Amino acid sequence: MDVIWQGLKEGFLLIIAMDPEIVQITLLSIQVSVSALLLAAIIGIPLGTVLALKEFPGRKALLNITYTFMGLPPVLAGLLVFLFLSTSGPLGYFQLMFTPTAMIIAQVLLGFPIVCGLTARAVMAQPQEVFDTAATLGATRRQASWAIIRESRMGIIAALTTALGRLIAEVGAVMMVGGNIKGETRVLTTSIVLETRMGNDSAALAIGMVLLLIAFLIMLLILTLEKRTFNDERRIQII
Amino acid sequence: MMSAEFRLFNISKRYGQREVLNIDNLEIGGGRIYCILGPNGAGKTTLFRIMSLLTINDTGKLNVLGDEVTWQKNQVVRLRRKMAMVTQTSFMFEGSVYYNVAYGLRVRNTPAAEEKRIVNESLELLGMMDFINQPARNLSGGERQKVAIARALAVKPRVLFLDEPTSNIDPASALDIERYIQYINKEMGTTIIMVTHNLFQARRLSEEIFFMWEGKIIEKGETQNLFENARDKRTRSFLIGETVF
Amino acid sequence: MTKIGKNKLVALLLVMMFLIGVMAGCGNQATEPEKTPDKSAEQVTPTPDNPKLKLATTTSTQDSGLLDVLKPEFEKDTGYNLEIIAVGTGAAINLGEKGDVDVLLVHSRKAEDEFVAAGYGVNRKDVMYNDFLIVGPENDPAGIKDEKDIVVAMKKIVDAKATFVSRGDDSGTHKKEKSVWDKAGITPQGDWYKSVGKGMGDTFRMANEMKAYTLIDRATFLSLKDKYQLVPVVEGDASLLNPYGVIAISKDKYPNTNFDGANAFIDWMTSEKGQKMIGEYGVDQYGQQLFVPDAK
Repeated sequence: MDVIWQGLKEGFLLIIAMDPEIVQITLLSIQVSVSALLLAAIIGIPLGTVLALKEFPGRKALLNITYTFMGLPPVLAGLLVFLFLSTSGPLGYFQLMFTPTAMIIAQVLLGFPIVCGLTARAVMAQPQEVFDTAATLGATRRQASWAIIRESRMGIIAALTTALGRLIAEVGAVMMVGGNIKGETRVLTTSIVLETRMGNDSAALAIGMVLLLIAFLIMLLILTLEKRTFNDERRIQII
Repeated sequence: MMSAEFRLFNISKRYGQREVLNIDNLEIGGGRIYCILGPNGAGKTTLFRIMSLLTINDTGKLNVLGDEVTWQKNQVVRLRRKMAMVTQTSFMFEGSVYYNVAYGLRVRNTPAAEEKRIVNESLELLGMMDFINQPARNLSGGERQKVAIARALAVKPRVLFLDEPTSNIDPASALDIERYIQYINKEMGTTIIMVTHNLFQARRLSEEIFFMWEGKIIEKGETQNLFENARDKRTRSFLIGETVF
Repeated sequence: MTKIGKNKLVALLLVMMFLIGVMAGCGNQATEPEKTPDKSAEQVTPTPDNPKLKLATTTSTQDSGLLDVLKPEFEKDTGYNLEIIAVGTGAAINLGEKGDVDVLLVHSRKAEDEFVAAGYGVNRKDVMYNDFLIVGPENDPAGIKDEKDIVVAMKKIVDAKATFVSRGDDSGTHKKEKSVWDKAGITPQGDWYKSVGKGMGDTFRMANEMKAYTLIDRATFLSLKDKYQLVPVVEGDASLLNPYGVIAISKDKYPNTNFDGANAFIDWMTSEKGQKMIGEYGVDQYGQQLFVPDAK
């Protein structure tokens, strides 16, 4: 109980004090995960839409593979990236191991299937009327597809939130390919692992609070976005 | 002599084992209000979807607005842009009434000023200007239907398809909408092809009727004539309300 | 092709080790009692009242494979089920302070003495020692190969700004490294100094990948050296010795710990048999003794 209390106190102080090291670690965490999310979104949203809307051989198999990779264990993603980027790996020439770039690559690998798979589901959940309405109003196939994506906004935002949540809280991949180097590749989650290993439970808890605060801020951002685009009156009423 | 707007020859459609449509020969000349009648499952909606190029026929020849339909991408879009549709549920895009009415203009790359003018004009005509900035999905059934009609009119279609446009709304709004339908046909010269369950509505509005039964057109003719001298036994029993559907 | 294949295998093994490490770190390790199937053995295994015994130790004893050899013998001789939690020395001592384990096997003399002085531990015994060495890339950018004086070597690393990877996790090895820097009068900082906050195996892997120097204990080095390209550059300095101690958690502080078991473990480790096994460990496998027994 002491440790928990102490940790909460320390965490509060840490957030108030804006310790430069913690600030740097926090910013790097956000930088890595948000960059990875953007890249995952740039490829994941269009691909998810294509998987949902376009009929081609192997579509079902690709969807199932995507769904499977939504559960890709972070350490495995880390290992795959490690094998490619390591000095003796095929991309070793670029010397990317233990850099934030390597961490972003590994997180893209984790985030992409989530964005792609959940986008596909959100798009497939749209009724036929969306296409019919767009088409009868003169939309081309491309324009109608865009209308369907637009109608799936809520689901796609949910996909992005889910992915960002997973990325910011993920430790296995960034630990393996980032290396937890102080001042260079140390992020919030790897700091927690380190502090725990060193027996500094309250410090670990304190950094965990910073992580939670970030999660809270992300959620706040999403809620604001949703409020701006959607009206609340469509929610199911249970009386 | 202008050729018919729609010409169907040997058009059929199956879903799995079941044949839902089989039309030997059908011509719709254009310019009037046409009504497709028939019990549930007669194939009215399928016929509708094929004519509006939303469903591909399995066999036969389809001629729409002077074009032999090949289902080639560009042709389909070009022909669809001469038509519009209002359905019984009238799906609304997420967004304002303005966004919905402007949609058909935007996909045609209409200039912004022109877009604004046409949206206002269309909403004005349907008496829906007060709702212009409201979220379209918050509207009542009757209001939605009017917005859907305004949305369809904004693209200035030669043919307007109406799939049971008043079946989900209150009688007062329904009469209102009937007046708009007549106005659109008489004043704007738009061909109107509608499916309805409401016999009185069909009699009030339409000039020509096609009666469908189990995927086929079993009787067609001028409305007045058909209501008074239906030849087919099934049509007669339907028209006097004996057929339960 | 074969090269890549081999590397993949190495990496896979490391991941598995990492996973095992994490599982052990969680303390959820479900240790199956390893019953010796050898029925012909005349020895009868005793049955203690409370056979569950939790040992917190450093990653080096686990990573080197020593405990894998000692555990079954200890269990056969005493009847205890040994649950091994392998973490850094700092975390191991922390577990002891909270009474979450029964006995410690760690290597940081100063921290051990403080632990005993604070009343958390009793019956501290020396068990063995191994030594540390500095490993580095073959081309030796700092030019310290075969340097006998560790202080000179460290200064040359700083002068050359050669990359040095530090455990940075407050472990026994990290403490040893800090004491060496202290002795050389240097506060290591800058781009060349990478504090990674990881276990020995991971740190070694990173140093290898970055072609950097690092301080490593001999046991871990010998068990992993075939997988990597780094070679020993500095060894043999007296300040690189690394003594291990074993400590029972005090019964006065935490009456619920398995004090009898802890003492049985201490007795066994310092017994003639335990000491002999420690001394022999590694000779078959690496052609070199990993730990030197030194119980008095």
